[in-house]
Amino acid sequence: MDKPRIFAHIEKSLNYTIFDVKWVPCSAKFVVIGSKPNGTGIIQMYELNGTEVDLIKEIEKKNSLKCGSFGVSSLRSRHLAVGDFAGRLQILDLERPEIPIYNVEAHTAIVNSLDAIGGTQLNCGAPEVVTGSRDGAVKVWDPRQNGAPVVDISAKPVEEGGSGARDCWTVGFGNSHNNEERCVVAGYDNGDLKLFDLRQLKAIWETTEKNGICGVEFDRRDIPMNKLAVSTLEGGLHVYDMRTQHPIKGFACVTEKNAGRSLGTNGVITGPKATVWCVKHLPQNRDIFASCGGTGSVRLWQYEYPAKRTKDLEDGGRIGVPGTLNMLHAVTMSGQPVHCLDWSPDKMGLGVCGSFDQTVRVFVTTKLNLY
Amino acid sequence: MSSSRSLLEKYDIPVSYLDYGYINECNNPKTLEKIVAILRSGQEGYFPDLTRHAEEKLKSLKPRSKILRTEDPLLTRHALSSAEWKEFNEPVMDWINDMRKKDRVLLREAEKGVEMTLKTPPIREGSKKIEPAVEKPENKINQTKTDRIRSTEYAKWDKYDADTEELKIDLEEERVREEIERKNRRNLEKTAHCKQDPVDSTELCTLTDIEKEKLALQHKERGNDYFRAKEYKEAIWEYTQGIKIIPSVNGYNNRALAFMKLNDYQKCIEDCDKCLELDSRNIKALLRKAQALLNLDKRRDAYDVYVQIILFEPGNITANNQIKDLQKQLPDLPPISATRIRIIEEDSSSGAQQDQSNKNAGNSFALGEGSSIDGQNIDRANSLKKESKGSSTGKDMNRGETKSANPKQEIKAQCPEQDLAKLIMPNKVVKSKLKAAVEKLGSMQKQSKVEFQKAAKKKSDKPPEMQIQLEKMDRDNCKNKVLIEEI
Repeated sequence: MDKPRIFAHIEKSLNYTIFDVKWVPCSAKFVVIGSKPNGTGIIQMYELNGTEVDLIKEIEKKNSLKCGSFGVSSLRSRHLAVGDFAGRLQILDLERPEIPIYNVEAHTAIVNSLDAIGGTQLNCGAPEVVTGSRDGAVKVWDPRQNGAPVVDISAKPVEEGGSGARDCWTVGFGNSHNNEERCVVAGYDNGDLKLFDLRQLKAIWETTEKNGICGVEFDRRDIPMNKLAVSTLEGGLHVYDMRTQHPIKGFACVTEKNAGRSLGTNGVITGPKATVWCVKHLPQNRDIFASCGGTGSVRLWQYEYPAKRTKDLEDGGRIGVPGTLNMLHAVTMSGQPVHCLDWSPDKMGLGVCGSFDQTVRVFVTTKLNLY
Repeated sequence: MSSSRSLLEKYDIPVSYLDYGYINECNNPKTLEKIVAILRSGQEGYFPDLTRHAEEKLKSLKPRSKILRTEDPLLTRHALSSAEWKEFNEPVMDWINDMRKKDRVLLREAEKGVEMTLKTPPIREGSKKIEPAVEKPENKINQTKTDRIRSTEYAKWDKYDADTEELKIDLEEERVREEIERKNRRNLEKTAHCKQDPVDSTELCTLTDIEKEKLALQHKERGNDYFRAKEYKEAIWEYTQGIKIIPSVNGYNNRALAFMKLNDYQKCIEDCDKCLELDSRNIKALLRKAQALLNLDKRRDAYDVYVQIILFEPGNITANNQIKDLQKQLPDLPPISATRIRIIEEDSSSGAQQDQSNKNAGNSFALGEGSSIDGQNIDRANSLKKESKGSSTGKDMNRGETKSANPKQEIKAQCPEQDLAKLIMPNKVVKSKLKAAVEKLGSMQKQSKVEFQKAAKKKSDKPPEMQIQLEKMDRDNCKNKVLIEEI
């Protein structure tokens, strides 16, 4: 067997709703971010200890917490940026969580998703957090600037002649390969996918998928745009090759319609379609990523590049050539949707995922080094 | 049920296809996929064995077929045998312990309250707003449509020039296209030859070792990414950044391979040598070096490297095969089935001492080889050895410090290949005369290497400065032929 396999290492049942899980960089610890039944937010930090996890820290917050990231802080400080149901963005020092380092009322509604960058890498731009919210706005924050976002991407209401605000479900950074360049990608509930260039300060590309977009992620945030993975409701999974943009056709894309399909008989994937909640690229190999499905599945995919990634057209233009997607392994993690997952940045194949059955699972993937 | 067609009709497949005989002969994966789908649906009845048969046939034709995808139940610890679990769990445990140590160091660092003083770009100026809609030429066209001219407004129509309007639209489209093309070009340039040098040594000083390690690892991983995507120039750039932060065996090794892929064998060899400086027994680096030498058509040098690999790892298949090949191509190559005595200099203090110890070492062998040896022959060999040795040490001295790494190539460069070949060629006279000496040596080989060193030290009057290492390859064969190589 030279195929990768996923093994459950540790399972931990919790008594609150999980919304996000993240590994603490450079440690064997992870944080679980969620909401208690009484509507307060909770952050728990667990440390791996053989076949157990030890709870080493618990922080309660006034509002339910939706999402978090360590990307904005250095390895030695490891501050966690969190977004909550009331639209607040906070950056917390987990050693002294009572007083947030940064605190701002970012949105008027729930912060659905955030992404952070610039903490650990050298020369990849300023530390920034991007938040996407139900109020339709996407805002970029610099922890050094209090009170106001550095970039605000919000549509004008329809009455003022704008396109109207849609619920932004997911955001992500990309293309941040030097101090100037940086992109933000945002996915909306109506299937709109938009790419904003923060240097030029304009939208540079948009497309519309058939269904609402639940997850977007660049394969790497800190390299020139290479690939973008997008997951949607109804089981859609798209991978865009972001190297070459055609003036009309945009970026080349490979689509997997049945990525969220549930199981039929005999473990064969033939059942009804279900949401693909998120896509996460392996930090050690940008061509492998996991998708988490509404049927409780975690699936491993490998993107294979075509022989030539661009093709010259007759009119002198260039167009990208999509690669192919190969499913390496699929596993049923839970009876309920798995909606958040994080790969350990320090150990290849080690991951943690949270599902709606209020359980976090630490899993290990074998044989990934063969790819 | 009645309103929807059966799969059989939908796919237009005759019932006769649902048969072992047809499935065996069918070589069209698409048809087989349809057959499997029909059989699985159960619309034509349940044939578990036939279904399995069709699936297996499809698997052999198209292993990656989408309809063959399955999902496994999650395996837990209880599903594994205790041995399997141990094998699986141990690396994780090691990793956890390792991480705990690193984590503690970082926490201590955080408690000190010293923030990293990395240069970060300034905050973006002012609050900026972006309208989340792409500017499109169509939007402009729509605008012109809104102030369209009514058919009755003759005066306006007189002014309207269809050609210029068309031209305007064309120009607008052209402008957008050009902008995107420019962006594409810039994208290509970016990836083709990267950015400014991000590693600044003054910045690095403020980092702890763990942070540096992490940074270097990031570069290595990105390099690997580029390597897998066959973008070797970018990979080399990333590896170089990693090496600048922390020079590592893996970094050099990876870069060597990337250079090899770009057919830059000289640089590949340089990197292998640097890697061997850090770890002289790195098989990967040796293999890569040998391959690069072969590609440069330096077959004799490559042969030597392969022999070295065999010494470290007798079972290495590639090296063994290559040695066989090379021996066929160049029949005058020395055989490998011999004990090799390598003399490795280790930080000798002065050239003079070295020279002396050189002689000592040489003499000790001469002594050991006994009186039965034809004097002339050995003298000549010895003088040759000294010559090569002398020149190399001389050069090393000029450099100021001698490194134990690999002066081999220099020697090669200075003494012509013919001499070396003569020196190491299984000379019949010497061979027979040496037999006595071999047997002596052979008995010593049975003892450990350390013991041999001691013995050698005892033999010589003064304790030699040099460390004598005996590297044996094949204990059984070693008595037949003896090759003494001095490096």
